Amino acid sequence: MEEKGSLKVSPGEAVGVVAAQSIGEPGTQMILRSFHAAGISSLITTKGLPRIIEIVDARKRPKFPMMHVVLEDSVAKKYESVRAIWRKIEEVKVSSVLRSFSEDLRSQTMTLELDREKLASYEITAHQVASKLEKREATEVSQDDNIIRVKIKSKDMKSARTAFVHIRNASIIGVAGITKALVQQDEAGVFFITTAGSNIADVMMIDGVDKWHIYSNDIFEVMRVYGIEAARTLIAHELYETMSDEGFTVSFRHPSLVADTMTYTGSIKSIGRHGVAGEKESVFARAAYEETVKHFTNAGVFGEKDMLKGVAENILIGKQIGVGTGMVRLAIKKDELKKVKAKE
Amino acid sequence: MLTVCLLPYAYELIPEHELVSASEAVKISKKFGVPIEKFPKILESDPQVAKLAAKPGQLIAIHREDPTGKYIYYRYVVRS
Repeated sequence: MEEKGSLKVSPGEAVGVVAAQSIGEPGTQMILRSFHAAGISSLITTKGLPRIIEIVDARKRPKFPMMHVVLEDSVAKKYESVRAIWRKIEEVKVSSVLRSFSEDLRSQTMTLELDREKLASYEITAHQVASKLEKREATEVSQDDNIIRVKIKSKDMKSARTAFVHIRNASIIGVAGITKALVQQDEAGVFFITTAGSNIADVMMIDGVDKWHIYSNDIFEVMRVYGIEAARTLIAHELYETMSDEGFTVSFRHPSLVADTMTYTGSIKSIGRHGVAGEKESVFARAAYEETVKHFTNAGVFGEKDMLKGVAENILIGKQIGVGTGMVRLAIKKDELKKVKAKE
Repeated sequence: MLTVCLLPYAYELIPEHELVSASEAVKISKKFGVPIEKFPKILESDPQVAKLAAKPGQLIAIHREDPTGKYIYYRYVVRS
């Protein structure tokens, strides 16, 4: 019991500085590489320092979004049913089953010649493609075996041209945003699916997918689907795991504190000029970091006040900082003092 | 081989959210010596807040569990 109490952080401890150093120091030793050996059955993900920068900068999308989907027990061991789910996940676009295509802007028609082998490999028929395209607005589709003619009813050539591009990028089957999906098997013979691209909300709705066992590395998407607390947990875990992978084990409190700081406003803020550091209350603290002149001019124009409560501004003016023993203030009870003096 | 157990899945990511009553919120605010408006925020549009049907101005207790232990974190609901 004594031991547990000694691990508690004492009041006034500069936890932020300790966290920054604990993450920053190993960061200098981390190898600056963004790729892992790319094999056939593994997907590329960002690792090491680039991944940490990606998290801390709060990028809207990770460079290589990925998902890890676990299936319900009833289907997880049957390869055929797992494959059927995989079909529903991987997105197949019109362009990936095309053999050739031609566009006629004058008559506003597009002729698509589908590749039979590619169609067979994705297990889709030309009819499926045609019926999918028919659902689009202001289009007329006629199908003849593997030739599909699409007529667009639009006023001008420009919108017809954009419609042609949209048709080639239209998805036939699968979940939007999932560019690749792989079926993998663990030691126990249980199948699971890893994907390149992330779309939690849509994958969750597929039958046979265990909706509580989805992992995604897209922090903003996790925030949209599960909420800010889930995003916070993910930030802390990703920072911790990325560092552990490189062989640097830090105490979990440090990434945890970073994650708390990034999410305390209810949405994800980056650490740095446009986020936490740029929104500090103190003018001096902001000016000491980056864009000094900008902050001083703005403060001058708007008559900002600096309460000198933080660390940076107190160092700047040469005052004692409010950290550790510097936090303690002495106060004298004047009445008591008078009593003491009277006695003397 | 992939280290499956290390990935935080959805059910591990979302800690339990609980609505705090107004009287309890006063006690908590006294305990920390901070008015509840200055607590970390959570948006009204947040899926977990929507689930609890919490209104702006209310306090939410989050029961977190991580390698450092079990603890309760509080967030103040704000308009998004």
